[in-house]
Amino acid sequence: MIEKTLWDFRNAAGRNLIRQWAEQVGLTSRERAHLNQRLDRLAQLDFRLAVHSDLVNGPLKRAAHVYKMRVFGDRAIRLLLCRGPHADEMETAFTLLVGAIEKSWKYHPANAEELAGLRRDELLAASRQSARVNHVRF
Amino acid sequence: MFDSEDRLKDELRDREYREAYAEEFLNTSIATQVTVLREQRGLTQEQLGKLVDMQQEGISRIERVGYGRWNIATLRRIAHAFDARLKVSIETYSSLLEEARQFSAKSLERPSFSEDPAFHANAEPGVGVPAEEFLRRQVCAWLSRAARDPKQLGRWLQGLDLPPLGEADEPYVHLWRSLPKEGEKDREEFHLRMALSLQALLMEKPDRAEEQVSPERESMLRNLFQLAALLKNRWLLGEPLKSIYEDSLAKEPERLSRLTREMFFAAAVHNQHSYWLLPEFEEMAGPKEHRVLPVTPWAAMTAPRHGPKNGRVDAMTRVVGARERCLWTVLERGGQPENMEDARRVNRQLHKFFDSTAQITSLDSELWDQPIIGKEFIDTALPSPPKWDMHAMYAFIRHYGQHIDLLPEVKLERELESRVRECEKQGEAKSVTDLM
Repeated sequence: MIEKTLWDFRNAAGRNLIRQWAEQVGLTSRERAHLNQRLDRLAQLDFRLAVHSDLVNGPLKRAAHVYKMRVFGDRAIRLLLCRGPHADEMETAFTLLVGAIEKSWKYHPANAEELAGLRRDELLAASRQSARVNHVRF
Repeated sequence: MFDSEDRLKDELRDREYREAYAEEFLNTSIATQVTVLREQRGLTQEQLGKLVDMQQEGISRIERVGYGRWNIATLRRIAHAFDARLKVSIETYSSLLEEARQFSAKSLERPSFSEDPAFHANAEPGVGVPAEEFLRRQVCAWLSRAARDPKQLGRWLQGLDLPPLGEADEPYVHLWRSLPKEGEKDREEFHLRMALSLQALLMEKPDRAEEQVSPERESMLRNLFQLAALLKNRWLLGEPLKSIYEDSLAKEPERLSRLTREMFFAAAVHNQHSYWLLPEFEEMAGPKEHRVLPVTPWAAMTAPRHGPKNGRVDAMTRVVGARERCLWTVLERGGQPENMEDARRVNRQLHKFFDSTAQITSLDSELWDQPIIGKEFIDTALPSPPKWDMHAMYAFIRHYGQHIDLLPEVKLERELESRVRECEKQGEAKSVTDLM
């Protein structure tokens, strides 16, 4: 099995928005460990198995092609991500689109799912590397 | 392979982090391994639930990475249902680095006791594991070992220690199917290891005191020669085959049956180490039967295709037979082999001949549709020196390609055709002969 490449979404200004979110919410050691562990396994496992084992859930109703990684702890951390998204890398890459915290069945940011869908569209429209950067571990 | 391993090593220096990472890794490993082992044994969640006296929903929960509330008694029951053992041990964090690096569905697979090669050389397929898959795992496990006993391979080639696969195909066919296919992981490595193992088996000297080769050894050799002809690294077998020929076969041909000698020759030709056999080729092209090798060069090229003893054998024999008859006719009309250098002329003659032979167009094309056979033809024919028999074979392939709807993977006729056109366009070749 080829290990998959993980990417972080970055905006037009070149800012890694996943890293920025992680800094803003101030992830604890425990949260970082859980997230990194799950992302490490996601990169190694067959995607079918990853979905079966709930490593990621989806695709989401409000954002087709977007999947959710759920980490439970003191806070309900959510990472919204997609496969690829370019057609030739669907089996070999994931892109982290939005980081969020879920509380009382609501996301913070509230439009996290829609935002993830938009960012995925943006990635597909942009040149391959301009809207993403190699994932930086949490 | 694990780019972030150094980073993880650093991260694990934080106590809270390492405890959380290890806990999450354990949860993920358990959930994933239960799924992998259940699927490895072809069980549904419901079937596994019945075996461990749990509801399907309970199994489903255990297979989720976020669950983590299983207990040792439950896991022990699940392990027993898989005919495996539960291992619980306290480990260092350094071992976590290695386990995290190696993590994959494959690394989580475990054979059941009845499939464990350490206990059962002639084990039976387990619950839900078909015989072909069972043998594939056994062969791959054996090939994965650093030290392989060639005797085990010899037993397989004789049809011993095999799961019940039926009588339709000979042992070499099953062994060939057990090797990774084109595009599958470790294909190159496993082909190489199989070729080296066959080499080791060939180098083992038979008991020369025997007047006749025993039927068991003859069966093993026949299967070995046929498997050798299919392997990607078959060139490794050129020297051992040569020494078998020179040391015993040429001296005492009757020690082996005609069929085995035919298979030997097929392996030698397919191994493309047939230069030492060129004088024999010439003798074979003559009107009398060769004193040792009872086949013509082009028949030797197709000899392995005589192997599978199933419904296709008649069609195969007809194909080969028709082809030989055609080639002989062309040769007789064209005169001596050295006059056959112009492949296009051979091609035209073959076309003409085939066009008047309704038989050839109505033959079962199933055999020739197999990608591996198509590749064999390309591998064997194109890189070879421009010998007349190659030209004849090439001509046959070109002709036959027009009569069957080739699979996309084969693209045999098209591949040959495009190479011809490419060279013609560049003015590098005046005839097909220049390509060979």
